[in-house]
Parts: sequence; structure tokens; C-alpha cells
Amino acid sequence: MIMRICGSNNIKGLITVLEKSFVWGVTLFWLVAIFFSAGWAEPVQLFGYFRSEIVSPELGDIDPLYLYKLRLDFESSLSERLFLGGNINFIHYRGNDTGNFLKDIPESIAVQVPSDVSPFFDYTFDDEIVWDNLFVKYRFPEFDMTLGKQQITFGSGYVWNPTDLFNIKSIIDPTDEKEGHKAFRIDYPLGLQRGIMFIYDLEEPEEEPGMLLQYKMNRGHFDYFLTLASTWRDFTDYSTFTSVRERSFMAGFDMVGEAFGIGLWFEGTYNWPETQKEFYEFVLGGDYTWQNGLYVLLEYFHSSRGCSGDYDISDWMGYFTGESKAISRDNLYIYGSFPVTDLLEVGISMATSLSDGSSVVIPVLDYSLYEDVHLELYGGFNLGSHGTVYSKELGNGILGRLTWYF
Amino acid sequence: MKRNLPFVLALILVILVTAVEGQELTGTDIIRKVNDILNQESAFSISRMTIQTSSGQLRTFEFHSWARDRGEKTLIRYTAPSRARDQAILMLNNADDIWMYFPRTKRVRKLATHAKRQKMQGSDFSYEDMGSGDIFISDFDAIRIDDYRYNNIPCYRVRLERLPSSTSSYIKVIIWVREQDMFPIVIEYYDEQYQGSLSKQLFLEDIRVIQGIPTSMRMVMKNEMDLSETVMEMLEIDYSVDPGIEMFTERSLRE
Repeated sequence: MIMRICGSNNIKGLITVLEKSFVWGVTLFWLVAIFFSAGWAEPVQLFGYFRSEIVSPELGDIDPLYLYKLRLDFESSLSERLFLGGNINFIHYRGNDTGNFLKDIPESIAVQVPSDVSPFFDYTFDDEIVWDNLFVKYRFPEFDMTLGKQQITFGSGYVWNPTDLFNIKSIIDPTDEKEGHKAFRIDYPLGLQRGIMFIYDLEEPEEEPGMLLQYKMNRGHFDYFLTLASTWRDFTDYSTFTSVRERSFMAGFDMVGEAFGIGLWFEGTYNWPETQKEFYEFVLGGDYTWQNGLYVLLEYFHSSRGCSGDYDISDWMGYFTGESKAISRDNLYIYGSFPVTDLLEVGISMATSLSDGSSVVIPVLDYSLYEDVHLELYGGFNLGSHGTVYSKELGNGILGRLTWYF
Repeated sequence: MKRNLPFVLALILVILVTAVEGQELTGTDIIRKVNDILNQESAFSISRMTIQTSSGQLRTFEFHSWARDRGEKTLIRYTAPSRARDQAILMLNNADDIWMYFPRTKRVRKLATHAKRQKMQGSDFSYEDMGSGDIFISDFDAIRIDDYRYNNIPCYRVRLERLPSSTSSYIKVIIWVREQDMFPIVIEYYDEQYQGSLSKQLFLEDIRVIQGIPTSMRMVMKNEMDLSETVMEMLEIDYSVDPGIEMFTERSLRE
């Protein structure tokens, strides 16, 4: 998706050029590596899926958005230690593929934005062909080194991950895959249950490197993680269209394990931006599976950066653009699922803003239609009062997803 | 006749010793022998799991599995179908510690012990059934009950009763053990959620001797509640491999 939020400018153009150069550079390296090692490399393995998706933000909408996605994955071991992998996505949109963010937020907030700047909030879903992941991994005897666009995920939280600086999860489907991140990464095990991970962020300009260091250990039934990061963050005021980009330091701690038979996790960070206000975020969660297969998960997320009820346009846009992980300060997520048959699982989740008392209910159905064909259905029913995060005025929508894996 | 006398006496002695030995075997003795056969020091296998639902639909999965320390450590990696490809599960401490790896997001998630009650890819096998190691010894009291013949094969029967400290989802297990080689051929699982009634039966079939070890090449788990069944076929098995302790780490899980 390409979001046309503030129009284009020279910096964005430069970033686009850098991104393209990077993708082509890694692609070229990959092809050359295969060419020179084709004689002894394992054959490239191809797999992936084709997905059709329908998104109707309003029930009964006669003009929904259709998405057709072909994901092609490839893997090859060039030697016992050198591994190449990645995937390319071909995405085609049809139907209602344009919108305006001001129509996706409560009217009481949208009307605060002058009508002459409304076009700046337009967005469109453009067809795209994108290298989602493309990386080279070398396994040294003592550690692993990965270079390229790759999946980088952090944190024990299910819906919210304060320690994850690279991804924002969807409340509809928190497990959905995300686009890779360009980075240089080292995973260094220290024995069987401990290890260090270092990440050098290649998406930041050379003079503004982003770096992250994580230490992991296990004790008893718990895993513990300590994370330190120095990255660049954007702080945008969407009422004035002014943006501050500055270095921010983060210290994070998370743990996951169990006590009294219940799965428990905690994940928290403290953040020190250079000039902006310091903030902290944390997640507390737990889950349990009953004997009959009923699974229940509960997660609470607090962000001191979040708003406690009187939202403005920046609170909403910050969430849409990924600058913040939630609109509200206090959030609750409850999820339950049950395997009705071997092929059918039903579930229901509810996300609640404790700050304004609003909720959205999301029923989920997951059905294995055939050996390699999977159907997923999601609903979204907003129950909150006007002006809240899950306000009724935002409507009720559905998402249907049919996937053929090959 | 005189010439045959030593042979006849020897035969009688063997029969007597076997009979006495059989009578003296306690439930614990039998389960220890079963455990020794089922949980070898290390193993690598390639398996195919076919789920047959109550409506007759089939779903097939294939996976590689490594185990060591008599099943205390297990790593399972799916190779088919494409949807599950490269998904992996690491189970340590007899499945009391479980980590799952999701290849599309490269995320490793630690699961609590309650997760071992969940069905493995929707099959009639739970994670507990796959990676429980010597749980029959550590988590249950073994009581020998009446011997029976199964398909005309003489069998010992042992009832296992769950200890209060156990996290197993089975309140009771009854194992039918072939007298001739102490190999289990039927395992009945009684589930707490069904008020202790029979919930699943595992039939171990096509028993062959691989590298000197009796091995079931076909296992059928019948779910008495859902009326579904899952067939696990052993395509390849090797007890001589040494997977190495580093195989059972997060690094290996992500490989």
C-alpha cells in the first residue's frame, strides 16, 4: 500500500531511490551467488500461496475492496553454511481501492481538520510487486549472520509488542505476516539457553544508524529478554503537518513462561527521545487451554504516550502510520477459540479501550476447505459511543480470505 | 526318551521361569520395560500423519522429528503441506517447555504447559502424545490388572493413574503390552474432561525390528468422542543418529 499522506518531498524521494538500490543490489548479489555456486547448490525450492481477499469496511457495502496476492517463496542452501531465502509478492487490488483517513475516524475529530487540507489524508491501494523478504544467512560455527530484508520480530505480547520497533500488529489478525525489514543481524548463542542478538538497521540513512542489542536467557519455565535500542523516531503533529525526526533510546525487558499452569508474559519499555517527552509502554498477558480445547487469552496494554480519552487527529494518524502502537492509553484484548471439528475452528476477540470504555467485537472462523485451501472470515462490530476509538459510527465490517497454498 | 529328557526338562524350566517371571512382574516393571523400548536414547524419523475427519475428509502432514535423552527432548519440523512447511516445535523437559516457530513471521513463541493439550495440526494426537518422554513413569502410578488376549496375542495390561502433581491431560491410561517382547500394542486414554471415560485409543501396528528395536511403523489414534482418526506412518527411522544437544535450541528451531 502506498499512502499519500503529505504529498511527496525530496527526502522521501531519496529514501525511495535508496530502497530501490538496496533491493536491486541484494537481488543482483543473490543471482550472482546462485550462478557461481549452481554446480553444488541445492536446487531452489519454490512454494507459496495465492490469496483472494475481500474487505468490506461497512456491512452491505456494494463496493468492497478486493485483494489478489501471489506470494512466491524460494529457499536454497548454497552450501552447508550459506542459505539464501526470500519471497516476492504480486498484489493486485480491485474495487474500492481509494479512501480518506478522515472518513475512517470519528466525525467529531475529522471536522476539526480544515477542509482544504482534507486531500492530504487521501490514500490509495496501488498494485505492487515487492520483495517482501530477501536475505542471505551464513551459519558460522559459533553464530548466525543474516543480511538483507528479513523478518525481525520482538516481544512476548500477542497483540502489542512495545519492544518491537519494526512492526505493528493488526487487532483483526495479530498473527498475520509483515513486510521484512532491511537489516544486518547477528544471533550469537551463549550456551543452550542464552544468547545475544545484534541488529544494525539498514533502512536508516548511513549517518543516522539504528542499532539494537538483545540478551536472552532461560530460567525455570521462563524466558527473559533484555533489549537496548538506539533508533530514529518520527513525531508528527497532523494538525499542523509538522514532523520531528529524532534519535530515541529504548530499554526494554520482557519475560514469558508460566505459573500455576497459566501462560504468563510481560513486556515493557522505557523510551528517551532527544527532545520529545519520555514515555513508557508495557503489556501484561496470560493464556490458558482447557481440557476440552477451549483457548482463552487476555492481554492488557498501557502506553503513557497514548491518549486518555480526548483524542485529536494526531492520535489517530499516529496509529495509522505506525508512529504509535495504540490510540488509547489503556487497552484490553480478550480472545477465545475452540476447535469445533478437526477442520473448523471458531473464535471471538474483543478489543477494549479502557480509557474511553469503547469496544470492538471480532468473530473469527477458520476452516480447512481442502488439503491446501484455507478459508478465514473475520467480522468487526464497533460498540462504542461517538468519538471513541471503537465508535459505532465507524461501522461494522467483514474480511474474507481464501488462500491456496502450493 | 532318555536322550530327550534334558531338553524336556530345560523346556519345562523355561516355561516355569517365564510363568513365574510373568506373574511377578508388577505394573511398574512392565511400564519401565515399555518405556525403555519406546524411548530410545536418540532417534530421527520421517513421518506422515493423515487425519480422517468424521465426515471422511483427509488431511496429510509430513514431518521430521529428532529426539534424545529418551524422548525428554524433541524437535519436530513440518515439511508438508505447504501451509505448515518449516513450522517447528521444540519440546524440552518431557513437553513441559514448548516453543513454536512460525516461519512466515520468523517468530518463536513460548507456550505454557497447558498448550500440550492442544491438537497437533488438528489431528487426534496432542503435543503431549508426541513429546511426553517418560511421562508414564514420572507422572503416573502403574497398577497391573488382568491379562488379556488382543487378536489372540497374550498381553499384560497396566492401568496408569495420574499423580496429583502431574500436568498430563489424561486422568487414566490403560496399556496393553505384548508378553513376547513387552511392546505396547494398544493404549487407551481416559480424559478428565469426559468424566474419566475413554476418549482416545492408540493402536500400534506393523511392528518391525529396526536396528534391534521393535518399532511400530503405523500408529492409529482413534478419537472416541469426535469419531475421527489419525494415522501416523513411519517412513524412515534411525536410532543410531546422535542429534547433538545443540539441535534442541532456539537456534536450531529457527534453522
